[in-house]
Amino acid sequence: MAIGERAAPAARLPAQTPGWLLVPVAAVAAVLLVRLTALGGAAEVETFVLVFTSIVVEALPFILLGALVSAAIEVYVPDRAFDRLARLPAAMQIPGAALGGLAFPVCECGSVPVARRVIARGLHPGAGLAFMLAAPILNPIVIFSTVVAYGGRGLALEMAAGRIVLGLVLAVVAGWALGNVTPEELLRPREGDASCDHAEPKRAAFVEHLAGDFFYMGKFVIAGAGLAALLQTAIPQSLVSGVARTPVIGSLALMAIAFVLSLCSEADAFVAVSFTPFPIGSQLAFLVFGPVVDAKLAFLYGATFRRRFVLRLLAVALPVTLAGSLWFEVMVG
Amino acid sequence: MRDRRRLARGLVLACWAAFFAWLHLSGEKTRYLGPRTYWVVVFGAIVLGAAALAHLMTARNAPRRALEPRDALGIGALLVPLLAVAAVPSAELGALAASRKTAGAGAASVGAIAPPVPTGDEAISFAEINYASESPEYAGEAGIAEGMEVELTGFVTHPDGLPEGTLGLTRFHVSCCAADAVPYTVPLVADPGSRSDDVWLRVAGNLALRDGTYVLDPREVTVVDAPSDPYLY
Repeated sequence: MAIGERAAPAARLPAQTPGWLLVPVAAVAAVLLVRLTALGGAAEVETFVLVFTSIVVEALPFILLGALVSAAIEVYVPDRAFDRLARLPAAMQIPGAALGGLAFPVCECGSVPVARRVIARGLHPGAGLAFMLAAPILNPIVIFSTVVAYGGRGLALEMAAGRIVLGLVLAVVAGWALGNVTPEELLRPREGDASCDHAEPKRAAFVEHLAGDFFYMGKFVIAGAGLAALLQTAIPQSLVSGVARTPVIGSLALMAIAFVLSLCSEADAFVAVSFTPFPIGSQLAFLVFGPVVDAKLAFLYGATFRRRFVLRLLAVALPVTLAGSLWFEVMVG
Repeated sequence: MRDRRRLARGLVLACWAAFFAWLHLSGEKTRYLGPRTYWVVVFGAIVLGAAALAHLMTARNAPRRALEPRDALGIGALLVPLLAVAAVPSAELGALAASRKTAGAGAASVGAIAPPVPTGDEAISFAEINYASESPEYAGEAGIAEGMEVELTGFVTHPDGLPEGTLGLTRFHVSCCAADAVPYTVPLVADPGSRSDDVWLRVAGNLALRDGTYVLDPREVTVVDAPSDPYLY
């Protein structure tokens, strides 16, 4: 028996080792190939690498911040606190959670792991979703940057108010529409959830949950950043400028650009204000839709929620954002 | 080490902490980020470093756990951006990126974010000249007018929509990171075929108006290296 136990790993080694070695060897070979050939100097490669890396460098600390909060919720917040919250009616939980976004100053990458954790701990799924969608639009840093960006156009208050109101409406509507399910029906199961060892010391459990969330979310943010960088490198934004002045098409076009660019919501107002050929309502659509659905988030949502969540979210976010942007255009434009 | 997955995670976290520390110490953060988000570099270095330490210190006493191939690939995926930086360490946004990020009707109208009116010793730069072409009122407030002497450093672009007999002198404005960079282009009076894309120029000259757009009529043009801080903020 003892011999068998020792022999088993040795017998598996030859079958696994070559596959293991291929990945790092291929990675080093790819780095050398790019450095030693003209490939590294190609404008397309430089643009892709710079945009890709900058999105990841900016997003990872926010993922880490979200993972910190998520791990703290898991390890340090007692069950009875969630039990009390879970007893509140959904009609209070969902708008309350959306308003909670006002006090959580992180981008969309940070709000996803937090939302996942609070849903798993018993908060109404709609409330978790409302918080996740509202926080990147409503947090104070985002509103401040919107005020600064639109200050020069004399539209600071209008744009900030439009973003807050439409962001809140979208978060609450999406929370109601998509959150009327059980946590098991909404969340994609993860290996780490099942293997949680409650006998572990709290500090060790905190580190394990922190790393679990960070590595799980991090790889999908990287995949999303790769897609966003590829789209930014390949597709000229001028493709859509021809339809800029058509209200509905203009809003849809800027929503498509928001999806492609995958900007941090704390910076997107400075880009939105530069879309001068587009009506102000279309620019609001860019500012509300982008933090809710973009290329990077599509990967993150796919990793967090069950199948077709992104399509169902699009089915809610598109009409609500479009209607809100047209209303804003009529009122302010 | 008994817990190999925790060890692998700790090493990857340590690589990222070291990368953030290098970005901060070398000044390379300016290549990827704008000043509004420099703090994430310090934050990342400290917190990722602490997480790496916690992982590596606890890996020895944790229950034995092998590193499965699927885990290893997931953990290793986080190294892809670092490999990309190793492969192309001096990546820059240039004429190609400017052409992709141009959404306006013409190059000179792109990036029309109203900059603050310059006061005192503040030099007139791309943003001010760009916006002065959009708004005569702003030009008046900023004191921008034909004949004004300016010196600009930027890279050569050839976008559509420039006044005839000019090429573009371009610089990116960055808010948070290079992904949100917005190009500002000032038309430079020159034979468009005389310069290649992405060549950095320092140009001293006078502003002139052509078809309602401010252009730079050069007195002295010098080819220079790309500045260490390539963006406007």
